[in-house]
This record gives sequence, C-alpha cells and structure tokens, in this order.
Amino acid sequence: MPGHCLALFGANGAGKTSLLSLVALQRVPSAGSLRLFGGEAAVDDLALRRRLGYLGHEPGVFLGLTGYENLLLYARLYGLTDAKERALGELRRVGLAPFRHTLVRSYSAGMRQRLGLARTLMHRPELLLLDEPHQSLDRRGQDLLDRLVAEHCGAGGAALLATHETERALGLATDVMVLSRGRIVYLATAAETTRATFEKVLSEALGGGELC
Amino acid sequence: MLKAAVWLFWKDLSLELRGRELLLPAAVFGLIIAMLYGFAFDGGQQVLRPMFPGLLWLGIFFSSFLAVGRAFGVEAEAGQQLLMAPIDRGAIFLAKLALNILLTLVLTAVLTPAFALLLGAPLPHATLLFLWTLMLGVVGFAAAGSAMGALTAQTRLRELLLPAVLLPFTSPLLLAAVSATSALYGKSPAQLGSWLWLMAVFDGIFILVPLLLFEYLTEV
Repeated sequence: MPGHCLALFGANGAGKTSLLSLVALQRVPSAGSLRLFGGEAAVDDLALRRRLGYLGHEPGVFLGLTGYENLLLYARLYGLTDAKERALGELRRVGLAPFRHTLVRSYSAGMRQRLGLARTLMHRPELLLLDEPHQSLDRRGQDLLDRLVAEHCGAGGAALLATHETERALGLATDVMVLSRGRIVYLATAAETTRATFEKVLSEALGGGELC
Repeated sequence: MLKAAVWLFWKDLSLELRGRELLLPAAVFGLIIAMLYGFAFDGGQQVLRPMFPGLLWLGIFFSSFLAVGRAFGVEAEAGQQLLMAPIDRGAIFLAKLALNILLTLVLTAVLTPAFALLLGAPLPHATLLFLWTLMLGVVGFAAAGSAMGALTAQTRLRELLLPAVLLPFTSPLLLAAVSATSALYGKSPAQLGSWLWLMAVFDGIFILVPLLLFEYLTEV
C-alpha cells in the first residue's frame, strides 16, 4: 500500500529472501499466484519491473565500472531521459559524488552498498524491496538508508524490508510481519504492536533460535 | 531491445578493455597451444602442414573457451539485478553475443597467422572464402558459447559444466569448419559449399533460438 513500510522478520530459512525475490519477479511461484499493484504479476512484465526497486544481498553493481558509469548504465536501461543528471544526483544523495570516477572495485563494502541503494532508488520505484540492506553499512550509512526509505514512503512509495536490525526496522516500519517456515505467523501495524507482543511472537517463530 | 543491447555491450567492452581479463589469457593460451603442437608432432612442418585446418580450429575453439566461458562472470558478480531491469532479456544475450564474437574474432586474427607460421602452412589462396569460413566458425562458436554461458552462469560448477556442455554442441560446427578449411586446401573442394551451409545453419539456430528463449534460460 502506498506510504507503507512493511518490516519482515523471521529465522534463517523462514522464507524472507524467497518472498522478496518472488515479489521482485526473480522467481516464478512454484504454487499459487502473485498479485502486485492489484493485478496478476508475470515475471516478463516489463512495465511491472519498472515499478519495483530491489536491493538484495549483493549491491548489484559492476566492480570494473566507476560508480557514475554503473548508475548511468542502469539509468539508460530504465529508459530515464535525464540519465546523466539522475545518476549524478543519486551519487550526491548517497554521499558518493566525490568518488564518482573511482572504480567500484576500490570501494569499501559500505560504499558499494550505498551505490546499490542509489541504483535501487534512481528510477523512483513505487515498491522498494530491501533484503537486509543495513548489512555492510556503518552507523552513518544505516542512518542514511533509514532516511531515504522514510522519504520514499513519505512520498507515497511502499517498502518491504527484511533486516537484522530489529530496532531500526521497528522505528521505520508502519507494519510488521513475522514469517516462520514460509508462513505468516504475525501481521499487524507497528502502532498496534507492543514490544512485549512482538518479542513473544518473534521468540516463538525463532523457536529459541537466532533472529536474522 | 537493440538500444539496451548497445548499452550492455558498452558495459561489457568497457569492463574487458579495463581488465583484459578475457582476451589476454585466451590469446596467450592459444599461442602456447600452437607452440606445443610444434613440439608434440615429430617430423616437423612436413607432418604438421596437412593437419593445419584441424589444429587451427582446435586452437581457436580451446582458447575461445577461456574467453567465452568467463564472459558471464561479470553478471554473476553483479547478482540478479540486471535481470530486474525493464528490458527484453534478449538484449543481454545480444550484448554478450556481440562481445563474444569480437573476442573470438580478435583471437582468430591473432592465432591464424601464428598457427600458419609455426606449422609452416601457407594461408589458402581463396582469401575471401577463407575469411568467410573463419567468420562463420567464429559466429557459431560465440553464439553457442553465449547461450550455454547463460545456461550455466548461475550453476556452482560453471567452469566445469560449460566445456562439458559446449564441446558436444559445437562438435558439428568444428567438423564443418575443419572440413571447409581443408576443402580450401584442395581436399574435396566440391563439398566446400555444403560445409559452409551447415555452418550458416548452425549459426542461425544458435542465434535465433537463444534470442527467443533467453527469458526462460535466465529464469531462476
């Protein structure tokens, strides 16, 4: 739903990444169907792909290109008319403008993640899909990520976020979902989710295991 | 689709020109093969000259394996993000095909005179037909390599799997290329046309079929 940010929690193998990659149209559902934006979703629907922005475990950038070249390539593949300006603007937004002509191979893991975030946001997707996006980022990077996601949702976009960072996700999310073995075991708005309820549900879902 | 293919080709070419990770090792490997042939076959150039077509094409194929086989490595490095772009996935195949044709052409341009020199075989008099034979062989190998490279790109044993899949598939092309080149040296020249046709058909199949099916080839 526009303006909503859904935080996704669950143990290892609960199905968070599978869910995100299904919504990202990277997989065909083995059973059932996938509905997005009120309609049936097909993996080869180019118009639908344009409405999604996905940041997975990898930042999805080419190490042998510079940061600017990476964004320029994606801007052109997304058919953005102001590709050069948009690429430069996004680099500024994530604080990488001074390193725009440096090969990504020389970037730190955190810088690559910032670049991945810029790539994901550049075409102004309606639905952001973020799979553990806080990983590799330092505190400032994580703050930046949270701010950009909040701006995105504040501007009417939606986000689906799977993360290790429980505190950050709860601060950011409008809705909370807990998965266990591929099934939804908890779904509520953040406002109606008390800390005690959440921890109880999560603890049951994890079976005493570790959150991831 | 063509516009996207051009941008993706630009990306692949930029990566290769900067890294030279594909062409240089493949060219060195091809030259080493040529030298080893010279050492391995006793009897010198008299013995090697009649075998020139076969040895040349084996050299081109084996060294091209190194380049073509690793061409999808950059996509594996960048994860699945490229597949999410709102472009016809055939554009990814076209870009990779163009890169592989270019790499294999450059390798062929380096290896053909080197093999001729080291094996003591003069190049055929019918230069245009020889160039046409080389071109058909290069395009066919690059097309099959691009298709199989896409198929095996996401597999764990990609480096092992690709040659195991690509060699059997390209063996008709290898046979036709060697036979056509032999025909240019006067061995059964009447069959030259048939071999060239066979190569052209092989090229057509391995360009058109993957282009149409690439969406499915890249589905996880």
